[in-house]
Amino acid sequence: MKTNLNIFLIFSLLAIFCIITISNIINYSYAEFFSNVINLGATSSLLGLCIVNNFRVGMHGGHGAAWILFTLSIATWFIAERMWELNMLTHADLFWFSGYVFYFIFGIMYLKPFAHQISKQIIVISSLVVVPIFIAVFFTIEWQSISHTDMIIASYPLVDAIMLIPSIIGLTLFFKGRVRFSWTLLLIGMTMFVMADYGFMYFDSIEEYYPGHIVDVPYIWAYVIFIGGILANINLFQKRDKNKRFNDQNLMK
Amino acid sequence: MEDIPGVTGALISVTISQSLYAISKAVHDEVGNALYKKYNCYFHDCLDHPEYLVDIIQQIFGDGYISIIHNINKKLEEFSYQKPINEFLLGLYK
Repeated sequence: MKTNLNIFLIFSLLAIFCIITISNIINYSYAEFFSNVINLGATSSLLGLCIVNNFRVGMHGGHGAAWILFTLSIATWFIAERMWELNMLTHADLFWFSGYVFYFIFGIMYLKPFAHQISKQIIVISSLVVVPIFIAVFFTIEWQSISHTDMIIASYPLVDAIMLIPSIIGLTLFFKGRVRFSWTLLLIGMTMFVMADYGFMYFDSIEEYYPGHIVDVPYIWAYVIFIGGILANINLFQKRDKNKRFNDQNLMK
Repeated sequence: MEDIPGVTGALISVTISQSLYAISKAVHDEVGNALYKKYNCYFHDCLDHPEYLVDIIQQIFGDGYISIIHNINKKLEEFSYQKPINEFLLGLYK
């Protein structure tokens, strides 16, 4: 199953790269069209899979609640994407930032049952990853002529970087476990968001960004990698087999 | 204190079940299914084989298993004066 997932990821990421790059070479309008279509496909699939994952994990317990928050974050990002396409930029920002709040709480809720093992030292070390991204953003911004919009754009890679913290803590905790794979993909996906948002900030500051720009590639990749993470989690918790004798012990509940 | 046959096993089963359910239903079912598949045992059989439970939880959560074990230990601490439970708890940390 893991091999199939790896093949899916490699094929999808390569296909997205080729389509966006070739359409950029042919015509910018094609690039915008394909970028929007792939984005719609990826975000819709991700949202659908998140709902399937919620049914698979169940609503009970810390992880049940955590995955509901994850679905909420993806749902708000899905709405933000559609608003961005309709040029409702202020509303889109509102939904994107709400999504970050849900995502961060998802991380905390997921890790809560393992709080016993999370020391201050782990939190501090994981938080250090944010520092180079803060420095990079700090030196890219032209502070003399910064506008309100520039500040919002600059805050995206910073917030993305903060979202990396729970993923890094999760990965250190679950390094030898089967849940590691989905946590690795969530970490890589969020790293792609950092890169894409930083790239968007840079190209927008030199007024070279247009919808469908090559910097959209890591951005769409992030959603596809998140799809991989969710699929890995769905596969981890298989459907209950009613024929298995293990279920007999439910009589005790 | 003498153990009434089956009661200690039931207590162990309920405690494991509760601790895993607190994480999620999926984790509870997955651990139960994996225990049965690999060791042909139920939660209550873990009283004699705590290492089976540790192995399965470790497979799923890696080093994160320690927190789950810690949680089970906290719930059973008050019954640790009973020899079988004390041995079970010691077995979890071996």
